[in-house]
Amino acid sequence: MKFRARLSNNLPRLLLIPSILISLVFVYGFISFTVVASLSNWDSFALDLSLREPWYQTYIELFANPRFQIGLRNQLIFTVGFLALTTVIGLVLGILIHNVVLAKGFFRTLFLAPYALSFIVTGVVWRWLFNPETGVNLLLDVLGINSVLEAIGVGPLKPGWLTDPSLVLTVNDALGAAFPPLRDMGLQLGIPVAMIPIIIAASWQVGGFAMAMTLAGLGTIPEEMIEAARVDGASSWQIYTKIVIPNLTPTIVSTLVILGWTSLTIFDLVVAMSGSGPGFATEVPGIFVYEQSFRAFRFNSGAAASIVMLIAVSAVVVPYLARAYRNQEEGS
Amino acid sequence: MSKTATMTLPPRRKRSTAPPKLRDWRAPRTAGEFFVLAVLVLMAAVTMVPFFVMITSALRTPAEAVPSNMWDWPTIPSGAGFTEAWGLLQNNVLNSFLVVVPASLLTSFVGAFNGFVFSKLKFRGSNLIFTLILIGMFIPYQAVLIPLVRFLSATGLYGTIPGLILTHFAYGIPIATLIFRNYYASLPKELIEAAQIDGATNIQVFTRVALPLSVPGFIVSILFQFTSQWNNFLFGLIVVPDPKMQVATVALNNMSGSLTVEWNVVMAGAALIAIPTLVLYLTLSRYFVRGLLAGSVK
Amino acid sequence: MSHRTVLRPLAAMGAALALVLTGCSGPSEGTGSETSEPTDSLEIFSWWTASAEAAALSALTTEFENTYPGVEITNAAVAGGGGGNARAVLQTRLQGGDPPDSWMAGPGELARQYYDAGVIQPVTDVYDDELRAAIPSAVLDNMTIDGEIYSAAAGVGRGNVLFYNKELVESNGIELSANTGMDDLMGTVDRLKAAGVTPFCLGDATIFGDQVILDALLLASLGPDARNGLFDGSTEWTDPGVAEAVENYQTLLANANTDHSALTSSEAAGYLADGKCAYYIAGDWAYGYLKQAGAEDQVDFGYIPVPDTAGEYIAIIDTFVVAKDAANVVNAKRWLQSLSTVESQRAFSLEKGSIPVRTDVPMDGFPPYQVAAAKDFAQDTIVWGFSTGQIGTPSLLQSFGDAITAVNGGGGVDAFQAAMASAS
Repeated sequence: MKFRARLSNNLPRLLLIPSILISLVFVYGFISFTVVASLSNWDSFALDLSLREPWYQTYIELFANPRFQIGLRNQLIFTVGFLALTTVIGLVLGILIHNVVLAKGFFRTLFLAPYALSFIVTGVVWRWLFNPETGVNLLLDVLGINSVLEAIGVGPLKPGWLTDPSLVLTVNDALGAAFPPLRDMGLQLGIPVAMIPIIIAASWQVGGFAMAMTLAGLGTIPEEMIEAARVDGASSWQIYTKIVIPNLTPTIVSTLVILGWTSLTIFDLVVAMSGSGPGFATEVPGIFVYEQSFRAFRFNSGAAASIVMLIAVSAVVVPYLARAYRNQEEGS
Repeated sequence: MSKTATMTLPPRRKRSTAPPKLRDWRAPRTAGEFFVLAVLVLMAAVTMVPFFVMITSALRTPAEAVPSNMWDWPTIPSGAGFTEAWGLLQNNVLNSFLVVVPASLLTSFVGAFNGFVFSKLKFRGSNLIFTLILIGMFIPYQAVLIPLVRFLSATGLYGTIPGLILTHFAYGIPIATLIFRNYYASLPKELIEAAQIDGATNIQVFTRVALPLSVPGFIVSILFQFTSQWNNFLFGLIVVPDPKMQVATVALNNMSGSLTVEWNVVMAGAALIAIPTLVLYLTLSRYFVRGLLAGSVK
Repeated sequence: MSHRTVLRPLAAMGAALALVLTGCSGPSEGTGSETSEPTDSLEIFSWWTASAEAAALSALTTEFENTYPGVEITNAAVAGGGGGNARAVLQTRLQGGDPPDSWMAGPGELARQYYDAGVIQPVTDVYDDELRAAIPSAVLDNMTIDGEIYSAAAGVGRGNVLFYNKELVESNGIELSANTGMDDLMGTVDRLKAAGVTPFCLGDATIFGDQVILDALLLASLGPDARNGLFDGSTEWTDPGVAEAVENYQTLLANANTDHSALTSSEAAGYLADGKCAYYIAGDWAYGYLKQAGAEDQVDFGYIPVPDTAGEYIAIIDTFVVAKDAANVVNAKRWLQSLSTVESQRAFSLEKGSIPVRTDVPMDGFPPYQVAAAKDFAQDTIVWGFSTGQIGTPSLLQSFGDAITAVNGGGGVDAFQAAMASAS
């Protein structure tokens, strides 16, 4: 009897084992293979897992590779831009829909619709939209914005978008003044103009999801709290900044983690929109891994880049989880 | 609908998970209300622009379906793009269903069970194991293509639909577990304890108490899994290369030639492939929000 | 029951299991079918999924079906990524032990990599005396590794052609012929700009377009021997000839349509047909695009070999190989044989716009460009295309593409040469 009771008590935990095994194989097993590959001599079609001399050489070459450096810079810019824009869109849409007086369901579904598309489709359509000759640039003329700008004397706006290899807001000179060694750095630290359309396209697609998260978070804020504040004479602005946004913090953090995952593994969208772009303006590590492995057959280099990406992701996720558990232990 | 942050158990009678009646439709009265509505309408219009381009291109003739025409109405709307795309894609759409429906259901069920154990039946080391399972969510898929194929081939699953289902399951379990763990965290402990005092085993607690209350969580998880698996390209391309068994996203990609493309067919194909996910979102979007509402967000 | 004592060995087991399975499994060894019994199916693999290329492939499969009715052909084509997706699928299929019977490769380095990996088998028995005599020896040599032939070729394209818009060129008093030198060409740039004409058409949405151009410019500056020396070490990438080629490329870039990074090769050809620019350096697949855009040979457009490369033919050959462990070996070899017949070569090239590899294929019925190209192929010095992987490793080609991208972004000649020198 005692055994049967202990078995039935422990059965659920034992039933976790299939998931654990799957994770071990598909995640840690495959990562181990990738780590071995990143330390190997495998740089042609034939599989060759012999250890490279010296074993860290591939990683050194990786970080010295200007293309990979640019990819890291672009990844950072994309991640920051995408997270900021999407979270703001989600907050704005969520708050607006929460307060609108009609057609809530209609708006909710409409803003979620882009999320149903695949990244490849989104990339192709937005590539058309950002064509410098026939895309949104035309709207600037049609809507009269360019005439206004010309009247001011600023001149018509006709950005090259995805075809423009230049960077804005480069800080190399400023940093070089403060830290002379940085002056000689080959890598340009700035925002590639061509990354902007990609950030816009990605935010368009995922904004609806951020909206849904916001709506859910808003629903957990007690109405009484808002009512009480209004009775006390607080303005809408104060209500939002002092009550709503702080209560949305857990929502925002969860959204950021899931968006961070989307951003750090971005591949399909960039390839469909512009590939690596002129002068690597839209290069991201995902493309680097793919081309190194399957176009150049330099599997060791692709594997090393993957491990670097994985470590970067873990550095973001593990602290979040540690914090979340501590809060949950305290809460429940 | 509960107004507090934790979920209280509704009275034990027929609990409907139907959405609340739309009792709040009314005309805007204050300037603020007009403003909110106007901004939403504007943003909705902007959001719909890419869909406009997609659908009008799909309705054109091949010669007209070029980027320079993207803003015009089609001169003579033609359904040829859609018929051709459907003809090319129908088998692949079926293949996608064969993969994604079982995969998303299986992943959600197992994720629900895992989430329950991790949130309500904690044991020493359970947080560590949960973290380790969760990191799996963050693998860049390009990194694991070759070991994946070697493993599937060694187990005889390479090139098969079940092999693709297993792959989607393996990489979907972490998110499903996360969603349900957060969902069950807001389930009151008292419910569990009450059932245990009544003599139920842990399994029975799961099936008789937690599962019936999990509908919103399932909606969230299934929508999430269905969307990401349906739109997945890389795994579909690599795990099932046989053209007869390819999934829809892979077949759509092959419609673009290496150097020239018939855009009306491709755009029509893209629209057709998006329909199942769109329908799912359309019918379930309010449940989606309710599901997140019940705690998986925190 | 302590969970740790259960879970730890479980963890070790799982990780070991995964490592063992992924590390040790692979394509099955040595089951290369020795049977001479033909089966009833055949699987071929390529990245020709649409328009002219697909039609050309179809011409080949139709010929095969006529000769061997009853064999079901599966066409496992994968588009996208400039062939990258196809390579990924091919690589994983080989790793997974499910090779296609025959797949598209190139002669030269790519075939050699497959040979080194032990995944293809010799097909020398496909070549009878008649076939051997009909194929130029340079081609046969390139397809031979260690004394055995490993591929069969469907058609030949040319990588060093300069197409020009007749009206723009003639109305500006420019005369182009096979004797035009590179300096002469570059000298006309100012004249065109003064007339408000964009001198060069360019479409490099994929870097391939630029690789083709620079490949031709390298040949123009270095000549065949020095250029081939780049790939066997006898010519350094720091050679002044390379610098000159890159400078010419920079001039071309500076005088091309500004939206080039958003244009595909076919769209750039469309620009030429529409008179938006005057010159277009490309492979002769552009001929098909120009015709599709409605332009007429010798009426709307003309063509010469890229200046300073007259008498030299950058050859781009589409070949098929046979898998070592092909499930349908007999049919795979028949496939190679079938695409080498006179009829197949004609049908293929008529669709694709290339020319037959065999020199004994009657050229009547072919458009004038191809007739002229076939004559050139028979007598010119054959130089293997780098941009399409006929010579040079895939790794080197990738470095080439990256170095060109850096130049596109404003990088200098020295950086280009340094990057290529360290890559080779």
